[in-house]
Amino acid sequence: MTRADPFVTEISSRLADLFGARTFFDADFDERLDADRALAAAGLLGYHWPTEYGGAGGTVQQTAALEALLAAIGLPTALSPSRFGVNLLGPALITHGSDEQKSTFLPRILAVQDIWCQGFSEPDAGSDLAAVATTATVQSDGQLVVRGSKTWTTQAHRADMCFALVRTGDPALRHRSLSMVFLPLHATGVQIQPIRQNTGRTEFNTIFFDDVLVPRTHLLGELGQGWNVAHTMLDHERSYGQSARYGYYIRELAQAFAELAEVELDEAQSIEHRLALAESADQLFAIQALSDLVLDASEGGEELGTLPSAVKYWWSTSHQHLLDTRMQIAFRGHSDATRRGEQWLASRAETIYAGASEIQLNIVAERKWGLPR
Amino acid sequence: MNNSGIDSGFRFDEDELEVLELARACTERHFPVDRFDRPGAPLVNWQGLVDSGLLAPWDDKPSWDSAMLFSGIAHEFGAGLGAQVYVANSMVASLVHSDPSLRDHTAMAAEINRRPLFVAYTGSDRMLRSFLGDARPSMFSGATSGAVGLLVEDAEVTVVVPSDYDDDWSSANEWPATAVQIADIPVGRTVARCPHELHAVVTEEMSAIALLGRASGLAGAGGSLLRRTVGHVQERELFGKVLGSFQAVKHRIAAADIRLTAARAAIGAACRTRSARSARIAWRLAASAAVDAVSTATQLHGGLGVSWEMPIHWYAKSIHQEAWSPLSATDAVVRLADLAEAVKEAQR
Repeated sequence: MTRADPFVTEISSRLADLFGARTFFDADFDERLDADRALAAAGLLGYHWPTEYGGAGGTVQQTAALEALLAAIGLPTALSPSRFGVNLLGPALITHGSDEQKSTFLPRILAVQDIWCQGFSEPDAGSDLAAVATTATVQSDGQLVVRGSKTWTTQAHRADMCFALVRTGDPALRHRSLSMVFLPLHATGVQIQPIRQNTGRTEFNTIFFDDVLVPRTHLLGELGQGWNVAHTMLDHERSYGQSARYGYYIRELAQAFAELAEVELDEAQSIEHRLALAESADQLFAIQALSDLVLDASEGGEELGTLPSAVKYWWSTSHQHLLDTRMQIAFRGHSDATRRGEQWLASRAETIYAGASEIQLNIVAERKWGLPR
Repeated sequence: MNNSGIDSGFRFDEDELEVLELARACTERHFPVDRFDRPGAPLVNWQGLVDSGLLAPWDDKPSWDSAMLFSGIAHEFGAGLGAQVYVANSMVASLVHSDPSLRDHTAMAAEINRRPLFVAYTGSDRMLRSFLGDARPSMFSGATSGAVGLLVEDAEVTVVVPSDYDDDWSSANEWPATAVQIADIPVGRTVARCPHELHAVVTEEMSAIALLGRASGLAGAGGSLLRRTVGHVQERELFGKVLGSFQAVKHRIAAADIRLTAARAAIGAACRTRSARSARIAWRLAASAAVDAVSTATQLHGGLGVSWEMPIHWYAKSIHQEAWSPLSATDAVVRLADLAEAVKEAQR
């Protein structure tokens, strides 16, 4: 979608009405939460949700265009506190939820009344998600008792609710005995322990569940169908491509280019860094191109196959390469080296979370090329 | 070859038809699919490709399908072939587009497209330079294909058909650099003339298309190598296990595949814009991915990878000549100019 597209023009205008010339590139969690709620009030959150559930019924292309516009003012979905509820849980609730669950949870998710987090990884089940060991036992009164722990849980320390994969059957059945449940994080028996990251900040957490009682109405989908529910979430997320990332990263590239002009370098050093940035520019072009491929395929209802794995691998390694160069420029004497260092450290996680690079490579090798597991 | 089809008002004249017939014959003679890796396979079914309707990169919306098809042709039939078809057809299409007297250019392009046209050899940087207009093309490297060439000179496109084409380079240990003097080529037909005032525009677009065609060929050749390599590691056993079950092997193949996937996506995106910069980016990504595919294929075939028996060295020669030859897209100054343009774009 081009800048001249009527949809883009209209949304740009609505965003300008909402935020003026303000940008959010250095915003903290609370500022981003406020922005999310302002977007919700303006009908710009959950744009892809069907209108009957409060969304705008936007197409894949429109939603991607909206996300790109938001990224351009420093509000990429990847940093939005609402993203777990709106982008992951919402579509899965619409597909798998009961009428009662939809009427209870969807309006609160869309208004960002509850902050959600995603409880998939565990101390012994990260990349190997089917090895989840946290259990949910069904009691005689139908309630579930949850015991175990989740880790690397982004924004759990600020969240009200967690949707989590839990074991509800024989562990030998692997993914076939997993279920998806909603866990209230203010309940008795829940303990949240923040994890300090290499940046010094705390965004991840470990959550301990010590016989936490959960009503049966908090089970999403049937018992043992959690893997399917999780796939609905991930498929939905994957279908939106990564065009917002392109907008965000190309801006970082422009900033690095400007920073390079501010440091004193001899010609050879300057050319070395510029050529590295030129390589990044090419890689970012491919992020946009790959994203368009995903959007086109999604819009056409085509199977995405292993394309999302290629996209994840590509954007994460390309972004790290860009920030490597930016960090090198900072080491040449740019005054903002501390801030750059924090971004550089944070980007190291990108090839680990949401499916580590090694997992993506396995997926491509095994599913696309048929190599043995 | 008949002259019927879409009623666009366009007809080839008899001379042109003669050239096209020659082109088809040369194509069949010189592009058997066993050129690189499929002994005994049938000849290229040009008419099938043409009838598929996908050989139309010149319509108003150059499609991802087109780019992928040409890449796919290169997969199937050897390095660069897809690029050659793509370039040849696209160049003519560019001229057709540029001629204001041809109102229904799309229909005319479709008419051209119904025929197994001609194959331009663009495998050497000399030829590309001629496309770029910085030199009079005095020769073209017809050694790896060259059944028919398209020659651009002073805004005039001529179909050239070598009458005595020598196709023996693949049996000798030579890199594909044997030159054929244009002056030695006996058949030449002018198929279109570019209006003078549109020359610069057409030249730029043709350059972009030519580069995209080459990028497509590189990606196709890389993909072909990768597929061959996968076949090998699925059969070969080491330490009592299939070679392809080792994660180090799987990861190397997957990483090479992802680079090719990114390059193909970039080619598709560049097909939509046809800007010179996007074409250069696509070509750089494809060249880098193809070189990586050669390296991966050679390494994972072990000793076989450096044997004459394995056709990897043919790919290696073709790909490296393309990827490492001095070319404006790889020029540091051009890369920095492309960077500056990307920065400007980000600031808009």
